[in-house]
Amino acid sequence: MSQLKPFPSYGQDNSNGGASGIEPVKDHRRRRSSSIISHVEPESFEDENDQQMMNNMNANWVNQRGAWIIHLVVIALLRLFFNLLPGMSNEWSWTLTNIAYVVGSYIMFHLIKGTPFDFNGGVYDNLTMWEQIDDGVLYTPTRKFLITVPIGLFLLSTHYCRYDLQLFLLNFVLTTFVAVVPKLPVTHRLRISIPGITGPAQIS
Amino acid sequence: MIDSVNVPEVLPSSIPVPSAVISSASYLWFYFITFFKLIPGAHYVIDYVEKSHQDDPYRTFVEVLLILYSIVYFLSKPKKKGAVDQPKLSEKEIDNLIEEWEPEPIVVPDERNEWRLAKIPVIEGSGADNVINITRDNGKEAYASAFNLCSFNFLQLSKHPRVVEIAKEIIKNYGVGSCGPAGFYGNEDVHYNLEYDLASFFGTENSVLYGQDFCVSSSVIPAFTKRGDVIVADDKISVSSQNALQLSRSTVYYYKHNDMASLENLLHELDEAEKKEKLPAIPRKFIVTEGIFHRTGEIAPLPELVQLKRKYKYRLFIDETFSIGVLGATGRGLTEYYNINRATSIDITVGSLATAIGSSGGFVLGDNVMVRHQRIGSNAYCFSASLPPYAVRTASTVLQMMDEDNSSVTKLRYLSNKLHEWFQTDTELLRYIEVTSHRDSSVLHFQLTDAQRQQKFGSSIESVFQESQYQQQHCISDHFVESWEKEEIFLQAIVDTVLIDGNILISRDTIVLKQETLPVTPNISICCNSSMEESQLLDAYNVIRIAIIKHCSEA
Repeated sequence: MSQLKPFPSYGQDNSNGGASGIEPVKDHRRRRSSSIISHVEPESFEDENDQQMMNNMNANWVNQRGAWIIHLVVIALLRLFFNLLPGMSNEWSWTLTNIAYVVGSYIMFHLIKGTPFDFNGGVYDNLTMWEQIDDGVLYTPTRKFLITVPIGLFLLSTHYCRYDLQLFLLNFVLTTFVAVVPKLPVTHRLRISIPGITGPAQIS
Repeated sequence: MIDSVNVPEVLPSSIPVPSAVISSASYLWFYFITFFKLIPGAHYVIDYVEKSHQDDPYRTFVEVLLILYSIVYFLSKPKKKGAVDQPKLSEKEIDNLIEEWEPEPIVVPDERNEWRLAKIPVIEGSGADNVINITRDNGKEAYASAFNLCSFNFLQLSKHPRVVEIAKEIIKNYGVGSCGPAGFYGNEDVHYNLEYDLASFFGTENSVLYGQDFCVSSSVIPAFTKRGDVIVADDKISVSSQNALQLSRSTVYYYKHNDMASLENLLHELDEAEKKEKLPAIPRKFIVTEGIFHRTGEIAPLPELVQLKRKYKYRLFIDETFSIGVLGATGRGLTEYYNINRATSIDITVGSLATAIGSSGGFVLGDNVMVRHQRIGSNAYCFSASLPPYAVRTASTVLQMMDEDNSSVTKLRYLSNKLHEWFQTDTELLRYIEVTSHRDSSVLHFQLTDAQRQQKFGSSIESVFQESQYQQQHCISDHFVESWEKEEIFLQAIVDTVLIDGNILISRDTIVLKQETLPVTPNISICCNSSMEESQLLDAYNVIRIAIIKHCSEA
């Protein structure tokens, strides 16, 4: 909305009047969608400018090899931690490792939006970290790695759970719906609002 | 061994599977396994698969799907969502395209604009003096000892011998440059001292120094705003603030120039709209205006602004480039003029050291938190070189002199009042021109009346704005509005006559129409300063008056 309109914002001088009648001259309003499923609007020219102006420190570190290895290290440490709890069976230890990793990565990649470094006019405010990685390009090596890790972990944990049906279902449902589905290209920039629980989704 | 007994029981027996399918599948499977076992380490895989299969084909199916999907994902090429594939071109085609391409010239030579260059005066010596030698058009025209009515050095204090002496001493001790941005060895003791001096002079908690005054607002506002924030601005702000609003990435609303009813209406409606919308977070909100308007010379009604800002919980941003050193009994600007405490009324004040204070650079006044944020979040502070030490010390000394003695401010006020009085009481002159500036403004702005503009050029402020906007929106590179250009040439003719007949230098306001996002009018400005005599100014007024009447009554 970078086009300038000649003086639409004088308030009640507008022919249609009322609070809904005022229109800004430059529009960067936060818009919210009233439908249950909605997509975040594509970036405008100005948004892309702001995104490319500076290195996105919030998301770019995931491309480093160390950041890849740390996933495996974290999984190993989680497994060790759950194993050390008294009275923990091997099956449950693996399942808890899986749950912890999947939920943790969901919070990190898909729940928290924006960036802690505020030098870009809030251009990332409505994007999750997953959507910020590699400037929103899909199927990049990092994304491939990040989607393979939970699948591999799921296979491992079900294997070591000796195929107990309940644990299998728990692991499977969590892995698919919390780790894999949010990473699919279909759900990229998709917002789901649940009436009564969440407010309307912000889409721009 | 694989035989028909091993056909999984999950297949319903009601659907007969042709035996040919079963036997061919069995053969395929048998040979696949046989060859697979030849791969070293393959028995581990088979072990794993056998163990995980555990006679549960559904689960195996689910797992296989998951693995298959990860393989599909792994093999896909990087692509942005919704991006269209570019056509694949061969080397030769690319070369051809490059050869065919003819770049447009970066600057289109346009003889329609050449007159502007020829009219720019070149001053020999310091531009701050009242009597100057100028040349124009590459030295083709020369005017000796012309009376200068173009200087923004309103108080003329920086020419005082005491200030010059200090500047000399500082150059001897510190050199001429500061060699870097403020945070990278650019700031020396004198810079911090001036920040303290400014803060104590204007009665705020703290202040920040900037290297250049034009870029102060466009660096400060974006440091505090982002998408979703709300800015309500006056619709006659200068191009520096317009740039700031563009860079702020906020939602910008304009109210009618200095019209508090319009502002209140707008704030009220925004308030109602916000209540209705139930935003998850309250946006930051600013009111942006200027002390003395750069374009028109009017004064902002501060008491009403402060009242509205408090009522609707906005922050007030005022650009005081032209009001500091001019308004108020001791030149402390807009707040002193209205007898209001600056620290509690204006949240961010932007001022210039290059106008009344007669040095160079700009500064921001405000509270400690606001200042601290700028030191790391404001682009112009972080990335451009700080002021030379002598300019800084000069400004400090001028502030000290203003504090000790306000006679130059008083005299400036007297002169500007006189100047405005002559122009505004001249009924013959007012048939042609409109004086927009306030009588306390040290710059007198006048423009043609709307009727004159319509009669002479067939245009109005709105028509020029619309045409200019159209060209901006369609990215026309040789931006040109004919009626605007004619009016500018007409005003330049007045300026020329004044210079040739009276040896007096006045000037059109320099406006680059291409950069303006708000309606503007071409106008002429006359600056007075405290070292002028009333008689000199009166002579100048008479010359200007005759020139205006001569040109306006011609057509």
